[in-house]
Amino acid sequence: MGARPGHGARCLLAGAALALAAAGVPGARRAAAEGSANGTIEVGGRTISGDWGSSKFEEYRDLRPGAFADGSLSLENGDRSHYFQAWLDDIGEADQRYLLQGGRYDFWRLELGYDELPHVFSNEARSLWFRQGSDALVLPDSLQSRLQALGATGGTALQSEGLGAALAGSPVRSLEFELREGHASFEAHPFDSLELLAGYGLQDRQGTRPSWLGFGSPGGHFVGSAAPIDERIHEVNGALRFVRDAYNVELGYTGSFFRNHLESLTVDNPIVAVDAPGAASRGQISLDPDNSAQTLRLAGAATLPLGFPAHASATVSYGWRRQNEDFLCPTVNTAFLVSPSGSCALLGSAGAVPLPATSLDGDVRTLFGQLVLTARPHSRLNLTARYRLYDYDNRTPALVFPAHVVNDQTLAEETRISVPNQYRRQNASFDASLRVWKGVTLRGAFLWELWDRSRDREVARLNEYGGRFALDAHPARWLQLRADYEFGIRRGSDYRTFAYLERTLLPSEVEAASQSGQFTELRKLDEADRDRRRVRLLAQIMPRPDLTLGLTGGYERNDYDATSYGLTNFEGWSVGVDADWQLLERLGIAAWYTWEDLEYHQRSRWRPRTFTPPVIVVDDFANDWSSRSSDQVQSAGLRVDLVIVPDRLDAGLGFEIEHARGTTRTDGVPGFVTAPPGAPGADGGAAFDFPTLADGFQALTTTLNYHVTDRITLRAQYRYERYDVTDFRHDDLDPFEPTSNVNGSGVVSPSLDVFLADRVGDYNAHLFAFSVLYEF
Amino acid sequence: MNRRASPGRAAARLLAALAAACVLCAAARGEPGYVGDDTCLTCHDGVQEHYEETVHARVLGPEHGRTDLARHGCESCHGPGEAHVAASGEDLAGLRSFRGDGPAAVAGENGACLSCHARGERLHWAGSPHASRDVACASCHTVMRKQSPRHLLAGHTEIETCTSCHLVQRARLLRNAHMPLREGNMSCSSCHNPHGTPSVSLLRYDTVNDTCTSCHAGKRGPFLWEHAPVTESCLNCHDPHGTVRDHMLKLSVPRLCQQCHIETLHPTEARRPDSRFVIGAACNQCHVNIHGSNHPSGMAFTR
Repeated sequence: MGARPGHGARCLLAGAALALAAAGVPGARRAAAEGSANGTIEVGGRTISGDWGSSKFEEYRDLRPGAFADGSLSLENGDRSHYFQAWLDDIGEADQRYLLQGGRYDFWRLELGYDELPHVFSNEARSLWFRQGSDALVLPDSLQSRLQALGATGGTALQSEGLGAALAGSPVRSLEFELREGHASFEAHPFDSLELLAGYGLQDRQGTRPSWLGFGSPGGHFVGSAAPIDERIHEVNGALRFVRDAYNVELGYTGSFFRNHLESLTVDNPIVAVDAPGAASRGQISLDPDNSAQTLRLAGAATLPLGFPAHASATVSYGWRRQNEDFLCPTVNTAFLVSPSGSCALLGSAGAVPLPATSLDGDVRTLFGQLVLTARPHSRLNLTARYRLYDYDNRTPALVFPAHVVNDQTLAEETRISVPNQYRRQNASFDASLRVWKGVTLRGAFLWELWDRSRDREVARLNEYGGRFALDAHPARWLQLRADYEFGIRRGSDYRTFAYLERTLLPSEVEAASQSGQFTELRKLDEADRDRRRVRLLAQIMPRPDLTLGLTGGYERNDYDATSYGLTNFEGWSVGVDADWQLLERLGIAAWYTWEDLEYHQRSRWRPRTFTPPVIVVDDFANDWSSRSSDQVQSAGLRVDLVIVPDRLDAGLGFEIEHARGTTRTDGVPGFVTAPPGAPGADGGAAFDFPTLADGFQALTTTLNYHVTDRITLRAQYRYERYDVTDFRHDDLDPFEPTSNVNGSGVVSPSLDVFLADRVGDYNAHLFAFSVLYEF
Repeated sequence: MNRRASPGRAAARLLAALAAACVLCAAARGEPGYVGDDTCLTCHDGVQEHYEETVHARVLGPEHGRTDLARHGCESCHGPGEAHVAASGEDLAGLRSFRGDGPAAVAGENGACLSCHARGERLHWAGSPHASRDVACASCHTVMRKQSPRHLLAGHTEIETCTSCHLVQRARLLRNAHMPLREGNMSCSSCHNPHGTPSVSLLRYDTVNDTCTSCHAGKRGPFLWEHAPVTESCLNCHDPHGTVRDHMLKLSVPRLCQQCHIETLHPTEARRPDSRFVIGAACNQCHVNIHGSNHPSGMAFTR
């Protein structure tokens, strides 16, 4: 964590906080001579023992040993009309947060905030590549040359062996970035009916994250790498609200501007030293392009003069999204470029093939609208009608690319047309609730949703009708029940399996491509016919004034009965109980527990094909397989607050535990219908269960507060955390996995893959913290 | 309840009688029905200490109130107290106690709050999910007591307040793949506005994707090569409240991808658990730009 402040720096900062407090509190008091100044300062130190080296321990926080300081301050003037407040958390640490606000109550407010958030993916990743310049990850040329020569003389097997030996020396890399976020906002009510808001926020991300890049297809290899991050998001917003008793109006603007200082990432291919057709010495991926999104919003609400309580509200927002980052060249493989240092034109068989445009000129207009009408025509009857529209109008031009380069290795002189995907989503509901008895309300709702999608999607129109029935019962002060049943029936128009191919290929190429394209019996889950049912239950019981019990439950089932392939069924349920009991005046206990179970059923087919003409695809039921993925998670928490000696000694205990299991079971008919000549001869339909994923987290926190005086508290805290994870995909992953290139029959081909080995380990940590809390 | 006379009860009646006298004073000032804070505190002085810590103590009352209603102090929210005082405090007599049960009582209490708080984040309260289920403002906020650093929440934190009903969401914060809520760097209101919004699930932005890309703006596009399910909804693949699987995915790759792709160029095999199509980042080891690509050769999201 090189970017994080060191132990010494944090001690200095904590000391400075204490010194400032000592000097500043009297000053603040004087400043608020006729008003009030109060706040808290907590300064202390923490130490950790145990095995806490895992990146998970510091995933979103900084808990390293050393000094720490927190504080808060609240100032008010004499007549308590003006105020200033500050909250300072984890001062000087990598997860520090500051929030300052001040103003005049009910008139205006200025707020300034600054946060830092570490995001650690893994501190055990291993990579041989080192950064050159801002956007290239390179290897020593000698290594590339040596591995290429091994391939030439000894074939892939020797090359694989050489690569494995080289990767064994991969140094450890930490994959993490720091998010720094600042914001300023101003809010004013110059008149009681008028409200003005303006704000600016900046997010800055610096560091590295996992990335990958593939070479060759099919049967190629890939390289995992630690990709640099250097991004900023600027957000500007403002609003003007006019509020009267009978109506209000809001005009608002939000602008979000994303700036990525890195346009691309170039990564050396370990086994090729010199560019050539079919062999790239390096590859390049595009990184997230600069873009902007601006939205103008007009909203209003009014009381309707209908002789009974009635209300209408409406919102319309119009958005512009732009993206016009310069295109990269189709490849960095110099063997395919007319001029490696000049234009991006490809060297086609019939001459130079330039890019059709230098940038996308991406232009999306969004329109969002909502209208809500609520009415209470009778004291027992409430009605709500709602209509919502979202139109994603993509005006980006479709670009025709006469040629491209597959994975920087293979020139493909085939036309590909970019598709500006767009859609419109509308939904409406009508909800009626009737109080049938004192404290008992029945509700019924009609629900409707319609998707209209562009012609590149398989289903152009998707309609869903449904309903919801609910019971809200509050029969006694001590009992509250809420129960919901909701269903939806979604049906689509004709499913056109090759819709995307029809839009991205020339008409003459569609038929040939379709033969080896998507399986015609598949229905994708977001477009398939679906029957959905959902039940939810919430009960709150207060048998005694000092005891609250809660019960929650839910069940959801989605059936995709019209398809036998793809996702066929989803089922999930959960139950939870919680209790909050003020057992004694000086003892409070809260506890909760939940169980959640999610299960996905899917079916698929292995469809071997030839890769050289004539294209033959084997579509046989014998190659079908199905899979059931399920997650079972139990979570629980306990909190105990105890006052041992009033105004002198109190204690708190908190405990949270989670245990999760993720299983993937697969069934398939043993044996297979053989692949055609020229196709891989694996048994793709054979079934293998994946090892179970499991993780467990538990945290026990005990705090003892000794109030030396009204203002000074000594605090001792002990926290125990334990995290265990079992994940076969990462646990023993090394940069080189000699058997990773294995087919369904278990036949291993020499591997040239480079993994990032971004493992995440277990940890158990005992944290001890001692601090002094001064309240003024 | 013990209805027998007691010294305390006699004292209360005496205080009530004194308060009733103040009612006459108020009426004499031309404010029918209102009795003023001093009268309220004659009996309810126990609430004063913690009420003084709240922002309401700074914006309500004759000194600070900005509107006629706000100048009535306690009665700005609870309503005119004259009848209550005249009943010697034995009957609420139309006062709002903010402990009401039933939709009508909740609507009345919420209406009292909205008489000042209709602006700002409450613009879309009417018809919102919480409003239509008769959730009272006082269910989430302690108007008379400051229990949280900000917003007078019923719980010590925002997460604690929301998850007192949304218990499963509380559990999901503990999931292996989660956003930094339990670490304190985000809260429920980072994405949701519980007071009502025009969009689904009380999201602050117009759509799910607008909400996600307010932080993950790089994934916003438009891209040269779009992955349509990504353009439509991040929820097709992710569960933002936390999951057991990496990257808050609903399922692990490759099974997630295989729900929508049964192709031949990529033989859709069940795959062995030691295969490069399963370990590490699986499909994403080649299809790295799965959210969309701006590379001229990135139609398969590999560049």
